[in-house]
Amino acid sequence: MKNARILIGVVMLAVILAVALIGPSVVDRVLFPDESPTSRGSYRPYQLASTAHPIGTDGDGRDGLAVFVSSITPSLAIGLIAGLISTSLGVALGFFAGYAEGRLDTLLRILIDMVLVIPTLPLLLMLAVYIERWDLYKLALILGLFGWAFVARVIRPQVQSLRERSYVDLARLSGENTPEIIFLELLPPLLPYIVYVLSLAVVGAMLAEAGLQIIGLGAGGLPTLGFMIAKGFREGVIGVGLLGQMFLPAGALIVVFLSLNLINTGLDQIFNPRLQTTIEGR
Amino acid sequence: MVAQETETMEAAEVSGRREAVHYIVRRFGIYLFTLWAAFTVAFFVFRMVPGDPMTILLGQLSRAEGQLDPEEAEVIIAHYREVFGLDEPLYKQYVFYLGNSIFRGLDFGPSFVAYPTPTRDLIVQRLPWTVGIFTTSVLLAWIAGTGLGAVMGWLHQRRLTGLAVAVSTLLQITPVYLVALGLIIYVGFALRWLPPGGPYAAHLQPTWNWEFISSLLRHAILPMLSVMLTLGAGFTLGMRALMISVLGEDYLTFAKAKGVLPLTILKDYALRNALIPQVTGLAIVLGATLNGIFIVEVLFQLPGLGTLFVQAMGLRDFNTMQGIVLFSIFAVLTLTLIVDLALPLLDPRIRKTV
Amino acid sequence: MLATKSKRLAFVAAMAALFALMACASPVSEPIVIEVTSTPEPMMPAEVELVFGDLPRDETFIVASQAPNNDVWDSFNHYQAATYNNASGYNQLTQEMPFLEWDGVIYPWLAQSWEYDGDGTELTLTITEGVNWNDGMPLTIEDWLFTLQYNADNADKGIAWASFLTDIEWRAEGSNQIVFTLPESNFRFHQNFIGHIAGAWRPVAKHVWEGQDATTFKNPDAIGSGPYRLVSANSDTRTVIWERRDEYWDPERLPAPKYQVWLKRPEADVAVFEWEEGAYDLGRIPFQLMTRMMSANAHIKPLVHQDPCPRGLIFNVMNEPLDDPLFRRALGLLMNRQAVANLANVPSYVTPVLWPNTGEIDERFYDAAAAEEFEVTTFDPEKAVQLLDEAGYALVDGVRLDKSGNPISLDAFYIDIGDPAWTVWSWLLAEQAEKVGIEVNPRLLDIPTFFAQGPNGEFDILFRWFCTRPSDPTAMYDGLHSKYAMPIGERSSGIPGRYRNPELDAIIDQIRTGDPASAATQELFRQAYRIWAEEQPYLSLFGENEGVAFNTQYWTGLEVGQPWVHWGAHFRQMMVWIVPAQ
Repeated sequence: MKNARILIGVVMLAVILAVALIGPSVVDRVLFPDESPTSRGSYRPYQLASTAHPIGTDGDGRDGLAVFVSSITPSLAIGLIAGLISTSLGVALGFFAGYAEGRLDTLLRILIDMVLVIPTLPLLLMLAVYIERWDLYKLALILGLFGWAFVARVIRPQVQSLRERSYVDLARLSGENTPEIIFLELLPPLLPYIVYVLSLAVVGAMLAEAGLQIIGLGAGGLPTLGFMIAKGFREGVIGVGLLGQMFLPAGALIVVFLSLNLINTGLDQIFNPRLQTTIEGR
Repeated sequence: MVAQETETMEAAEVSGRREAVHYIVRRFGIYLFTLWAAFTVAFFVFRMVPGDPMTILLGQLSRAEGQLDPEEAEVIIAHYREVFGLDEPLYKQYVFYLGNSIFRGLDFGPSFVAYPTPTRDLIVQRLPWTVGIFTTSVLLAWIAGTGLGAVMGWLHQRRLTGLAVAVSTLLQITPVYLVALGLIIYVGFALRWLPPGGPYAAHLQPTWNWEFISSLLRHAILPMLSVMLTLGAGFTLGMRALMISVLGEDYLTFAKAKGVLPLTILKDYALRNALIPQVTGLAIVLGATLNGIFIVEVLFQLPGLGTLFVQAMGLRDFNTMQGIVLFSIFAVLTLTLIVDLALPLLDPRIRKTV
Repeated sequence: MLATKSKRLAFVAAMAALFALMACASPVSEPIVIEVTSTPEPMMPAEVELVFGDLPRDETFIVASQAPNNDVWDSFNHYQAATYNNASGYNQLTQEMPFLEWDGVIYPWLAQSWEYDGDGTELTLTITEGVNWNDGMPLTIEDWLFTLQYNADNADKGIAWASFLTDIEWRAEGSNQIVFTLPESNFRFHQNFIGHIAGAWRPVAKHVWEGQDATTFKNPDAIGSGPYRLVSANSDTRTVIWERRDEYWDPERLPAPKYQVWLKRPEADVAVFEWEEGAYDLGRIPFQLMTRMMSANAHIKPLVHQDPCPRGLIFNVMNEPLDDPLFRRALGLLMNRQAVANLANVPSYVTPVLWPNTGEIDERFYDAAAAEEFEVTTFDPEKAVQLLDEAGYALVDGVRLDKSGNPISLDAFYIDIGDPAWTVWSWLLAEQAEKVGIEVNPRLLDIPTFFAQGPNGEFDILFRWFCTRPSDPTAMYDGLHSKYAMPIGERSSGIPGRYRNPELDAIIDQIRTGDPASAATQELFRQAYRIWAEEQPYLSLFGENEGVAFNTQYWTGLEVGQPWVHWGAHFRQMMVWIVPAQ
């Protein structure tokens, strides 16, 4: 059963990756052998689904399906980079703040609280003007740098609580040093939670990226799932009847999230044998 | 520990109380400092955003009052710049603003979104919508989610639980916009069960009669449901994950070996430990209510603070933006403060470190 | 959508659920439920369908506006900048203008006529008599004089239609004439009294405004001279209800709808369903949603009209190589305007002049030969290459260098309001420019940033609209005057490309003092056009058609081709055309 979870998760992820990697060229070759379906103004905008355009054309006069398949790779890249940055930063600072005591903890807490409460939109609007050339990595970096505080805020109290548990005391008494305690005693029990937060951060970044593109922080017109959703919302594609242009990108995000979670819980069941004993004891 | 036992009870109590007071005072100091620092940073960030109310006005004038003379536009702009104090140097604006906020009863000046209504009145007008509909649904979602998550974590090997997890995962990551729109289209238009939008029937005026209140309630259900479905799913999953990790710990196995009843383990050990991050999460989500789910306000046409902030942002209405942000900063930090002060009650181990 | 049977079932279930949900539902819904469950027929409409409480639907005209960010619903003060939103109906239903202009024809309204003396230093305005306010009080010359003085006194308060009164003197002659003495020759003074697409100077009621602050007074009863009076205004639901007053002073132009409701429509995705149900009569909706709405509700018709502000691209001439007219012309040749116009929400048209023209351009202001000679609307990449080569922009390794030897790279700013044409031009330009070795970098700006960057001159290529009147296209050139060429970073209220040309300045100055109806001034207009065409400090991109949705179930009379813009002062004239559907 636990293998089934991992299996399903891996298969789902593989499907998405396959669509992302070979989808664009397949769509181009099969449906549009002599056209460039993703350049703007190729077709009349907002055409409803037809055999020529399976999910219609978008507001920029591109083929919806072609845009969708070519959106996945950049989105995944942005999500992964940004998710990893924000999660690792957040976990590191959360651990640091949770494990450190006194002034350092206080300072970090003030920093975390401040980053959490100051609205990011104006900051981003500022950046939109001052940074001239945008690419995928800058976008991901920005998203990552804005997302860490949430992670840190939820990790910190857990670390605080864990570090006072008896088994940590025991480890300390038995001569383990701080890194050992952190990596051997504190990190493992939190790992499933961290991976869960990571999957949330990955998909969250893929969604949040849309908000950035809409205010002009676009990566040079890079097609992404988030942007497709946001643009679809702004242009009312559901009202137009172009359901595919909303549900395909949203579905892709959901699949990514689900598969990451399935793999996480599956792995957790294998590597967290203590879990088994408690349940079997019931 | 041994030393403590030898001490007299009284001494321990006194020192404990002193520590507690010390902790609370220190925590309160941090709170005030963070409040001020966050507000200050927010103030300057806003002012660095390109555009001010008057550049927007100029843009609007060029369209709305088509043939308005450029020189006439300049006069209008100059007047409003003065009204909004935009010609003063930045530091003066800051001092003035901070002074007014603290000493003149949160006087944020006039709003531009609904000029000449004072920003304070505008916020007071919009606040009940945000608190009444969103904060309530976040709280309900938290309670339901935490309960469900605890059960799902406890029973996490049941097949049914797997299904529940799948459903909540799906809901959690579905953009709230789609959930809300789905409810509007299906429940509001196709089934006609509930009104699809608006705070209450458009011809009514707020009064304390049943017609108004029932209209209000009927209009509140769908937006609340949208928020609860998405956020509740998140809380459920978070709680479940926490429960599972807590359940895996040695002391629970130990407790079980000692013959403690499963329910007692759930209640006294597992739940209590898993609740800590969950409470923290609540504080964060409550604070993020403003910007996180404003889209629900927009879709359901509710006159809440989230919509107001977006409108103010679109007009670079600094007074209103700052008023709302100050309020939101205050709300989040206060909640965090309460959580921080309450956490030691939940978890004695944290109390020890304080 | 759903089968009738399942719909009925669902309705019953819904009612049951509602009852379960609230122990006691509102008393109104009870009899309806009984009716539905007992009869097999779907709900029969009652004798009179009521909306918004007790307004008969067939006597109510509902306007679904797309209100901007200004959220003013209970203040009826057109002096306030934030109230220019036209969303509450105040401006359209109660604020009448001395004159209205559409399609180049000027119609008398609160005033009858105007007359200049020979040299344009004196203007006599004859006002309409027998006019009354919507509270029943008469509107007399006293109100006109009061308002003129009031506006002049408050000119520094940031109110529109005030500073044009500086240095002007006026006096009443009899009970229906006002004579204005102008400090210098000015044949445009009367334009201040003509409502075109939007407002104009208009009288306010002395008994309401006397002693009130011009910018903070809310005029809570919405007193004005129009045919409607305020019933209720609600900021929560963003709905304003108006009722026709039958003692209106001009029975000929009394609108047909007894009630009007002006409201802010929901997001497009939701509004489309409201439209399909016939909840609105008139309103803007993204045009891509029309097809679906029309197939769901046969009563809905698209009404297409010409937007009064054609779109163009401004070049910042402070930035090399945009300072070179030849380079600007080359960029113009790379711009496929027809492709852009075709992508607009409502297919639009390419125009060589930036004033609204219904198919034929007023030759008095336009030099067709210059337009042809300088190819102001032509798409010809080969010619562009030729121009670039001739002007000395060398192509090295596929990259075109400017005269200092640097690769050319330009930012093209656009905003996204959901109209493809507004965004796609930059990508089409980038595509063509790339082929000739020039980098054009399309950049999306959020709207407030756009309004800041543009006037401050912080751009290379900027999308913008140009509003001017067909009978006097001064605004097409006036903004190019050197006096608006501020340093970069300072706001310019003209056309913000920092263009300077003493020759054009001289012509503009003459145009401004001349009478646009005189042959001499029109010759100047043609000269200015030639300079513009040769220099191309900005490009004409396309003239936009706009569409609104009109529900003919309860009201008809509005047709495509009627020259109006529903969000402006024209709405007053549209009201005269609206008649009940049979």
